Amino acid sequence: MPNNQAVLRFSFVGYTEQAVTVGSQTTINVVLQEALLQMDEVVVTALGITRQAKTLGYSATTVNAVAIAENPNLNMGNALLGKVAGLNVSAPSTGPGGSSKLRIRGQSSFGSSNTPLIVVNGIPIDNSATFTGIGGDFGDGLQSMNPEDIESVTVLKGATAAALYGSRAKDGVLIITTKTGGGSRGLGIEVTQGVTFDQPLDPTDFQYVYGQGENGIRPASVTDARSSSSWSFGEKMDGALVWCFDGLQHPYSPVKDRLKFYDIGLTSNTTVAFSGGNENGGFHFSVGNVAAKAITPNSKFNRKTIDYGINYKFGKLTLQSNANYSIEYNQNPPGSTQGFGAANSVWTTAVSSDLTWLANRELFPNPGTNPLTGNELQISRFADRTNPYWTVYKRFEHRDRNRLFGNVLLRYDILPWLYVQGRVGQDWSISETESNTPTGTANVGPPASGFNGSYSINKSNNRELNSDFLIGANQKIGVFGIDAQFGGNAMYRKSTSISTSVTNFYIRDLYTIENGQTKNPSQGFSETKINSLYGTLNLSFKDYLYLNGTARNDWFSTLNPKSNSYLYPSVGLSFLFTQAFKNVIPSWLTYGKLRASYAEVGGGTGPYQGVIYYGLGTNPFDGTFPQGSITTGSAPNPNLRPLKVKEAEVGLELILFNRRVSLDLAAYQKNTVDEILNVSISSASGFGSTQVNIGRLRNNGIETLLTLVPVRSQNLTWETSFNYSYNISEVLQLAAGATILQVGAGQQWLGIISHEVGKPLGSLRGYDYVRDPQGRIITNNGFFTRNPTEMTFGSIVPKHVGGWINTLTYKNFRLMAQIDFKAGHKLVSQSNYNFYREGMHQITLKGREGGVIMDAVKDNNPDPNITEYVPNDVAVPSETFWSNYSSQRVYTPFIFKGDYIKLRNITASADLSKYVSGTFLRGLSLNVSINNVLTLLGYVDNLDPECVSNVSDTTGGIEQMGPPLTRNYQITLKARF
Amino acid sequence: MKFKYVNIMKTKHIIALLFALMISIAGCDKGFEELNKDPLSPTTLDPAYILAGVQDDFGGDGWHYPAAIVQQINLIISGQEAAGNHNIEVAGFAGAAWGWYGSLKQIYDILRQLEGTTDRTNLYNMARIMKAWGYMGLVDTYGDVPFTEAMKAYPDGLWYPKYDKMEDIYLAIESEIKAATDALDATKDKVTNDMYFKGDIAKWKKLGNSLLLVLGMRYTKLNPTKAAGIVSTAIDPARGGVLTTNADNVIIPYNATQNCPSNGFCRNSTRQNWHVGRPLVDFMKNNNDPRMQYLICRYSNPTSTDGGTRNSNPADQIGCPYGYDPTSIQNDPLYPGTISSNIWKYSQVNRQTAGRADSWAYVMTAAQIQLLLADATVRGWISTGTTAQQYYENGITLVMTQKDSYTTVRGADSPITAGEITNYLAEPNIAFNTTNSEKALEQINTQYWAACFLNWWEAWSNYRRSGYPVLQPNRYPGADVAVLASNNDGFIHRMVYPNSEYSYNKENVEAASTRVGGIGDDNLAARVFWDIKLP
Repeated sequence: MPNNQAVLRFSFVGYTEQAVTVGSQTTINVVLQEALLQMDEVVVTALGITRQAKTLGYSATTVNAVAIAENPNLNMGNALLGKVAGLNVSAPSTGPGGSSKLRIRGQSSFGSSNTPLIVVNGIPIDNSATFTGIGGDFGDGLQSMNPEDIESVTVLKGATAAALYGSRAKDGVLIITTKTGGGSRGLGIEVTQGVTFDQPLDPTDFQYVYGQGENGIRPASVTDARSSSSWSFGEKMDGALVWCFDGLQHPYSPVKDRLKFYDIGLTSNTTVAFSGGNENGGFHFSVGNVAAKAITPNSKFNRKTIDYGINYKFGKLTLQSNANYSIEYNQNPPGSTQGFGAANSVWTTAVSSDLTWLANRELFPNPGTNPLTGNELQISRFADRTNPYWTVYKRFEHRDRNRLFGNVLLRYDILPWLYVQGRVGQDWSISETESNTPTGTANVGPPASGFNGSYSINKSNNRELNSDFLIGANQKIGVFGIDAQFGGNAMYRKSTSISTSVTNFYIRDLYTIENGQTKNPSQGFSETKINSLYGTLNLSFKDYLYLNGTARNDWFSTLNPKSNSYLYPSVGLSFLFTQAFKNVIPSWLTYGKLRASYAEVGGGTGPYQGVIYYGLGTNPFDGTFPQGSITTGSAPNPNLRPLKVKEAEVGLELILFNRRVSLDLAAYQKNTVDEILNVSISSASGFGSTQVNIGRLRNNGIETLLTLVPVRSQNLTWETSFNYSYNISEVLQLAAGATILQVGAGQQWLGIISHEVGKPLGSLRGYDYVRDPQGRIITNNGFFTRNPTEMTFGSIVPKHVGGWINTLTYKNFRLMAQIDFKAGHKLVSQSNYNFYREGMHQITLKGREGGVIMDAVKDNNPDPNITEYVPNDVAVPSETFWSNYSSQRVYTPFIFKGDYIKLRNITASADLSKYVSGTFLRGLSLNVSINNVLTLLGYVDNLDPECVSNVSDTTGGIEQMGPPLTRNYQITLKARF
Repeated sequence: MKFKYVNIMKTKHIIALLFALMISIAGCDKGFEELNKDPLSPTTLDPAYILAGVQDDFGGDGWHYPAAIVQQINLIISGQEAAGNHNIEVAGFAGAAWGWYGSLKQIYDILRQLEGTTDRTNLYNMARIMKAWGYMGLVDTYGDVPFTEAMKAYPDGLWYPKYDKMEDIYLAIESEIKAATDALDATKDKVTNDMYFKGDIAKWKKLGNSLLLVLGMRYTKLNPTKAAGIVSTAIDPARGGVLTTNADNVIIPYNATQNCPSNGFCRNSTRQNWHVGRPLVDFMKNNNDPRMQYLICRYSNPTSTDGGTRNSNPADQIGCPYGYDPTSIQNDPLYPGTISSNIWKYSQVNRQTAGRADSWAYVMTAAQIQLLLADATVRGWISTGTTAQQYYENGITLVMTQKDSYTTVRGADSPITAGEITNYLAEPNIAFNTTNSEKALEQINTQYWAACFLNWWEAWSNYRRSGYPVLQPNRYPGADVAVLASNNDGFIHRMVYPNSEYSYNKENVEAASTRVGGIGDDNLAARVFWDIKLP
């Protein structure tokens, strides 16, 4: 065939195969499209074993690298939001170095962290989130990766997909493969530079009639203004000059832009990558640098990454190695607690006052500091409403993390159909965290001598080492095929930490251990091992029927030696009916597969259980009397078993009309049994809780991914894809006789999270008003009271999660828009609780003159045994009425639906390579992306519907005054040499 | 196709594979048991360390409820600090005293470790006294509480203890205190890790007997005969006597490292809103109490940590009245105005003396005991040769000469002179009333109330027992319905059971709440067994 007729085919894991006629081109640039379902697609499954997608009895979705890299998120977990049916991603607004919350198929246990296992190039890595002392977010494990280094991410959603991971698989698995180079491309250099701007978004809609003040009176002096700075129960704003908390007079007028406190966030993201290879293998080496300045002043995140991947085949021996080294520095992630959470002041400063007056450098050379005393300039009479400028400039909390994870794999092909491989991998990190409470903070009492404040430093080391071997064989016997693997894994995990905290200082503003008066050192240690053996057997019949079976046995060091071994089996079936009946199937039905599977996987347990421990206080009382105590708070149970998740799944895949329509449908039922519950017991028994294998819960759901390609021509393609998942859970059983288990509570004022038998997981509970039998609120002297019986308002776990992505490709341009949604869950808003009692919410306009007569009833009969309800006619002065929410703690007005629909992302990219052909550049592309474009639907007063800023399942649904969400504008240029 | 693979694969390959297989299965859980032992945490501990660990639990804070119930401390604002000052049920604060079970857990471990030993009987009996003391506090606060079935979660697996009758618990602890005090022996083991008395057995006997005296006095309304009997036993000199001088006081020596919790409100974020109640200010002002200038003052800038300029002149002090909210407070006839928005000019506790972070906490004082003896003498229960007046005056003298309470320096002597005390004892309302015993009881118990400043759990118990001082009910409009009801005297008489018991021990707490105070309702107005309502 003449050269110009040759057709090159490009294919890779997760991509649509593309065929390009060579023609007269001397260089060919191909951008592979995201693949959704393909007949011969190859998928990386558990343990790094690659399988053809058509043989799988379970649901697995692959997301390609481009979709991840082009998203402005620094944490690649957030880039998966709205893209995979069954994967529920939340991206809390905790700053550039923040965590991402990933949940697959609902929540499989009652505990706080139901995060999927993250496996990078075959090695599990740690993805636990760590938090700062003020409720801020230091980030998780995924933030150590540069999204540019990622080749593909495969989501193994169910127990069946993850079964080979045994006790680590209960929440599903994310298989991440990084770039390893290869192919006959020769040496290539790629430079990517992106710049992102983050704009804070203000969803508030406050009353702007009455300004700062209390009990209907505006501040009469600077002292007054500093006392009542969060109260908007003053007088009608009339523009007259009034004393304000900065010591000056300003007009008594609305200040509507309250987010001026925040800066525009700015991130620079650079990657330089070298790759090359030949027909035997290749390499990929990249260096990345992220410098991100957060919207919160004095807060930033830097990340440098060095990543390499090599693979090479020497005859029968194949070598593969990948590693990722990251140096991360996370400075002052914003907090959410009342004291040092600067966001508190931003949201609750009175509507006639502007926080940024306090940053006037002429008055306050060091914003936040009182120039006369050098201590905090207190702007509220409550000392625990810390001046936010004091917090951001004088309080520090930062983490330095050095992390290296990587692996080396050697594979030997003994025979063409028999191979053996060995692999060693490790995830190792050292973190150093430092933080202080600055001297002069108003909320800290004076010491007997010297200066108040505190400082702490912590160094911790974490390592997980995995060594495994695998023997694989593959044979065809007539119409049957056998593909089997056998292997084992030894996992060793060790964590150590040393920390010291000191309270009160001898010398001012020197935050060191030596300068501390009272020193409190402590030490942490933990070591666990899990050894495993596993095997898989895959039988195929012709090319349309596949039967898979796996079994894995784990031995745990954390369990009672008499019973520390558990078996996790799975079985799956895949039937390609279009192949089986290809003679009778109509031609428009290109591909059809039915699949079914069942698996049992498990969870782990923590070390050092089953015994009672003592401890000694660090400092003897009064320097003389050492204080010891039993430190174990949970009555030990030496017979604890790990939990099990049993899941059954069925699914259907269809490709119709010449790949114009692709459908992947799955339905599952997931039962968790033997859940270890920290069952709360009466503290009068000597312990507050004990652990029992008694919990049972169930998740049911369906997932669907529908992709349509309405237009597909040479130059123009329009692809629209819709992913949706529905998950409903039910708590089946708690401890004997218990119907409810409380697992978390709001750290400030509101919010109780519990699990209740017969209801979905994650009940949001709280208190309602006292009501009469007809449901009307009862007031006494005009005041409502709280009904002391806790009640359930709903579940914090969404039932519906999905997204709709449209992609338009025209020649070398591409436009993508994503809408995503969640529905069926509730949240409680502590911010709105504050907006009520501090007079900012519009509802508080009611009753400003003359008092609030609550729409309620009162008991008109003085006899305590007879009730006669008549409409309430007692007026309560406005501020007293609204602050009754604080005394009574009624939750009802602060419970909102968490449902939302958002236009999440619009991305436009252009391949400008043809404009630079003939220069030293081999390729050039430009990418522009806007994230968090618009909220189309939300139900939370004054806040963004995604206002819950924590990633835990036990405090999910509790909104606690975090920083605002941001809209991100990113522009990226990528050049290839 | 013929299978040729068996031939192709060499024997050595097969053996190597099988070997790997065997090793992997055999070594699967080697060394796991050792690995699962926490190298940092001990599984045994000398009970002497546990004693000191528990002793500072008995100086807890009472500023949310009992301080306001007995009207010594008040907060005008609403919000999360509202509790006793507005007579409302705040479950978190009402349930806080249930935390004494945490201290009891540690005490039971001392008892378990030393049960049956003969060489550490003193430590054992000290723990018995602490245990009885803890249960006394629980019964006085809640009424029926778990006792016989308590502390049996591990290894017995009793997670949901039933509640015992309060009357029975009192009888049990009465005999436990007596037996433990009598078993203390100065010739036996020396317990040095004791922050109260450094192991001084004579003082421990006085503590045990004083506790017995306080317990006996609780029966005043219910069963005066029984009260008299217990009191006589308690003061029997042959058994060691009771707290008599300030050297006998039970003190928790809080310091710069471990700060005093009872006066935490002087240093926390709402410090500007905590005031001294009008009854206490008036009592001290109207009687020219020499303590007043050291305890009560007004600050120019209460929001700041040190308060700004301090005015300790007794004549200028204005106590905060009860029953008002931030708007209605202006109707107080003595309303002194605000310093700024929602910060009122009422008197506060002196932060430089009684409010110091390193203040000692007095848990039981000789002053209190002497006043109780005065009370018992007036009622004719005891006749020791000391008159009620002498006991009364001793008590007052003792409280005024206490160290640390009135000074800016930790542990320093009291600045109140003997002359000032003499003058005080001659004040018209203070001079002991030898003719009218009811008035005498009022004087004695009002002094007891003042002597319990910062020790409010005891102040509240004695108020309920004696009915003195005479206080006006706090009729805050938003107060708890049961407290304001016509069949109650307007005061809180017990704490409600904590929400945790309703969540985790439902059956038993519900059974107990049907017995509460005879009303059959777990609320703030129900009464513990000795606090009967007198006609």
